[in-house]
Amino acid sequence: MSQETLPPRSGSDDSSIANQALCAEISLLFLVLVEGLSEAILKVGGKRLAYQFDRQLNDFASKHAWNALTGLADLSELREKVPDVDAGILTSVYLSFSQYARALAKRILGTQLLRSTEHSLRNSLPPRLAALNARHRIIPE
Amino acid sequence: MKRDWLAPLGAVALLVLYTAVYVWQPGGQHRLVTISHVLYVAFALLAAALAMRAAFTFDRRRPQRRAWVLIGTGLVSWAAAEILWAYCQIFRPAEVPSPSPADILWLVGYIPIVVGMVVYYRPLSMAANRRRRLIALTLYAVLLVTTLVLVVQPLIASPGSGTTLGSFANMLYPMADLCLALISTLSLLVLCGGLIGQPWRSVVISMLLFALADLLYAYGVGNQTYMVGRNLLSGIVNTAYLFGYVAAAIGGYRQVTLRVLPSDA
Repeated sequence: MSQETLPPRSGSDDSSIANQALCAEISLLFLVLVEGLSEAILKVGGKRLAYQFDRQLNDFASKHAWNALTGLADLSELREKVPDVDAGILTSVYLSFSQYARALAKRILGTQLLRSTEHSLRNSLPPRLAALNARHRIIPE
Repeated sequence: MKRDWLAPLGAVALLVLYTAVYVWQPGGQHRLVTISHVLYVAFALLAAALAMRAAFTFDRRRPQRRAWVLIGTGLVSWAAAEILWAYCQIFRPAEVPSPSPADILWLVGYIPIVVGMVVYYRPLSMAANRRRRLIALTLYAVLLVTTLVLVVQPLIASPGSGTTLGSFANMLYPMADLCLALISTLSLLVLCGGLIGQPWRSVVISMLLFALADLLYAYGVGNQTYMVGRNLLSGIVNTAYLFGYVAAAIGGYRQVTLRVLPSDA
């Protein structure tokens, strides 16, 4: 069995790949939260409320330079593209956005339903995302 | 601009107007009966239409859509009962049978409403706080026992006017109303504090008003004290009954007009 020889990788390549991987995972975690909240609102509050929730979250993102930071037009593009930025900065941006999303969802769903939704979202996370969430608390306890 | 005050303001204006008409009685008692029944029919129809419209705020596959359709169907049945009852009361007051065909429509109407409320509550039940649910169940059990002791038991002891079947129907209404109030309260307990709890607040108020109206009506009929426009008990029955429909309509209206403002976060 022949072994394929990989080209040597520099340290900066490694950190860039690690950064990309972290960006992808933290983006996925953020998407789990936002889409989970939107789905809960759609389920109990109806189409219009869910649409308004998505729109207001996007408005908040655009006001907070989402486009300038990531090059993505809005948050829905996260489903197709991973922002290529510093993972630390992206994490703090997602933390701020998730706080806004949760505050808005609390206003719509009420505390009890929001907690229950977040609880089921946390329980549905695969182990890697659960570990990442434990570190960054995008979906807090 | 958010116009949340429109519906409550309209309800308060209607309450003031109806109370004035009830006390003053322009045109006599028969005119008051006519006005009351026309209002019942109008608001029952409005509540049914708004509940149906509320269903369309949800996706087709959602249980909440089925729930509102079922609630709307029950309200259509109640509106049909109101039309029939209004016809009997306005045009043939001397020949109203007890129980009347309207009673069948009213009682049948409870079935889709109960099912609709259960369908709505089921997905929410997982998020329900066990302690709050227990408190609600205890409170409603106390209310039900009070109803049985204060109204049903005396009615059984001395049936008064009307047939046994008619008395049975009159006793059934407050209990069925309390059952609806309980299920809607359970939904409200999960949703309270959120925008989506607003429609259910009105629905709970509506069911409690119906329970009050039906309870006092059964008591008044049993003791032969119920006569539109003649005493306070009848006034409370008629007002609570009208505002049961008004609150149900406000519930549907709230669901239809729910929206999030930027300042909400």
